[in-house]
Amino acid sequence: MKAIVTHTLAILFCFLFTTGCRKNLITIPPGSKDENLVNTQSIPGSTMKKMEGIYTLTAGSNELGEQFVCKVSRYKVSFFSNKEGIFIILKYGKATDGSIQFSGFWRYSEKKDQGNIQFAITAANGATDLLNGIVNNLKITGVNGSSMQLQYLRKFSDKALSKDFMIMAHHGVQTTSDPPFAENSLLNVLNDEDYGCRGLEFDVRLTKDNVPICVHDATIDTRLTLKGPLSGAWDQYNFSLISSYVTLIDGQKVPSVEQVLNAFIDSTNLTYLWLDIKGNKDIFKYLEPVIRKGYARAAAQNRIVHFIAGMPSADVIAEYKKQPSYASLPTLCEQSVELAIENGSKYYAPRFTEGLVLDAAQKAKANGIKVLSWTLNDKNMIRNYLVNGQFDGMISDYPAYVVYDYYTLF
Amino acid sequence: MQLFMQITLIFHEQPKGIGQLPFVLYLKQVIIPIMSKNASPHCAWAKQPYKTILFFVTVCFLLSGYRVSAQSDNFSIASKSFLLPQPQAKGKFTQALSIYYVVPPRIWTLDMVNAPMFNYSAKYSLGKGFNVQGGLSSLIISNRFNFGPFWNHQFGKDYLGIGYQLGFNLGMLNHFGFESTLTGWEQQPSITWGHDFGKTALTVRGDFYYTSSMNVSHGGNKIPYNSGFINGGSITTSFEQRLYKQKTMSLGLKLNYLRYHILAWPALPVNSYRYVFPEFQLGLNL
Repeated sequence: MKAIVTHTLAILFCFLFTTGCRKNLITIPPGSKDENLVNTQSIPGSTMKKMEGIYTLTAGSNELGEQFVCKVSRYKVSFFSNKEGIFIILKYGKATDGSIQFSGFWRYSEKKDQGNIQFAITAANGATDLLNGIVNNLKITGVNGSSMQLQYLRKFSDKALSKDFMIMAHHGVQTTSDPPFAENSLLNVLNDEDYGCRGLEFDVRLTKDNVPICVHDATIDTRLTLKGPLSGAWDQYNFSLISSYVTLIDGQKVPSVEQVLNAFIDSTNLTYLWLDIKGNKDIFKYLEPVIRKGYARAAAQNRIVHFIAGMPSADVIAEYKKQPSYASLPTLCEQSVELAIENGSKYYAPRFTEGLVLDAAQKAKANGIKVLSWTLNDKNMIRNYLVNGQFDGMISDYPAYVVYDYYTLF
Repeated sequence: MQLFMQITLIFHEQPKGIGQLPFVLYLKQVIIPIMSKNASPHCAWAKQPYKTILFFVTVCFLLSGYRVSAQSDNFSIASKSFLLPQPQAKGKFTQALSIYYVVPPRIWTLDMVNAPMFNYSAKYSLGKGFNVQGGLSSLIISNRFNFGPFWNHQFGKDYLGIGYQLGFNLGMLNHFGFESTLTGWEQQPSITWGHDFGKTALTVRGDFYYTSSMNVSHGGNKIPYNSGFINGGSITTSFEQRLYKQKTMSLGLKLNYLRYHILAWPALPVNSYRYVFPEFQLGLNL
């Protein structure tokens, strides 16, 4: 009896430790009440763009940081803190008293702590000036419980603005720890700009009926999707079946590349989309018409965009060579600068583990090739690569770190 | 719970010898598919249910199989155990080989291949309850050396050990797009409690890890971590019993709460926050 109890306990331990786990689930941004935005008028994004720059905390709690980078996206104003990748994303409107009201949320990059926050710029603190394009004395003050006051310090340096630096979200995710949205999803496309990104990286596979879709893993699994009736490789199923029966972990559907491009062009100011090709047979043959259609759509809206097909391996390069007409579209080579030159790629992207690759970067630039490093998540490393490297962009699982460091270092 | 009962029933109904083969087949054909479908989202180990479950249930199967043959002689776990913090005679040397199966958080190792680490540990008794212990854990590209003194005391059937070890982490990978090395020193105090059940022993050990220095280099570019930091802690529960003759084996379940683990360093050297993740240990006392 004693032996049975002992062994049962041993198995119980095994069972609990094997099946129990820390679930890394979605943390949806908190819904804001937006009381202060009631009856406000919309302000053009181009007007708000003037408030971009570096801000410093002049009063109130430093719980969310002491220095901030302010970026303005198509519809939001975002602040990126010097403290632990904290970011603040705000909607805005002009109130009847002449002030500009802000309402939104703050969040840590690497943990799911978040909350609502509201600010205002009164007419006396520079709201009127801002609407006229003047920002020198801008003060943004916390309201409804927040005591923070941020003072405009300076605009971004010419050096920072001239580099056209590509800050990109890995798998489109704004923070990999408890992300707000499922990776490779349309909500990433629609929101990444608010998180300081100029672009994003998605993964591309083919379905059975040769529709390019955005998904990372080779098979349908519980890392990315909710439990459902389909299992196994994605290319066993038609896109319609996947759309009907597969749900991403936050309830969204797996998007096709075409859906992603349409959202990217129509609803954002994003510029760069790195499509990491996962190597299905003839994938470039089926991707090319989708990409060309996307460029036509962007041209019709006067949008300058770059849809970059990423080639991570020799197999994918071999597939690329099977579709010579794709050569006129931008590609990215991960393996070496020599292969990037040989294949006419416009981008070279060494993994961060290869180091700063200074010689290769110089060679790339001499050949008109831009250089990106991926995937940088460590704060020390991001800063080190920004200071010492010659990169034209970075992919990160925590782009808020890159945004703050890039605009404050240069 | 139903699954647990299924495993328990099978476990005890097929206790020994070659008759246990159907159990393994049943495990492969029934239990693992069930586990695979019901695995929680985002669990790294849920991605490899076959390996993980087969590994641990087979260990339980082995332990169970020998319970019958290990009953009627003068075997005493207290004198043969490697993990119990028992005071031993001066000059006694013992050693053990183990396999550690670390399951790092999925977000650390999205595209990484996971594999078990091998560990060799030895201890040499200095008398009066003191001993020194040292060990090497290795996955070829990821290595950890540790060495330090322990003091042990007996309270009847219970034992208490307090120790301090100095750890050195060394990682080197120069293939697959990596040109990376990691070195770091770590301070590792620990406290261990053990209970002697006669022929089996249960040991619970708590460890604290303070990383006093760390250097990471990628492609020759050094990334310094100037100040020391608390890496985290772990709690290990180990069950030890006789395997054959006077040799013992152990099954351990370790719960880590760490900012980084040497196993996963090529993917992400140091995280801003600590993560909880399990580690399974199978040991053989040599």
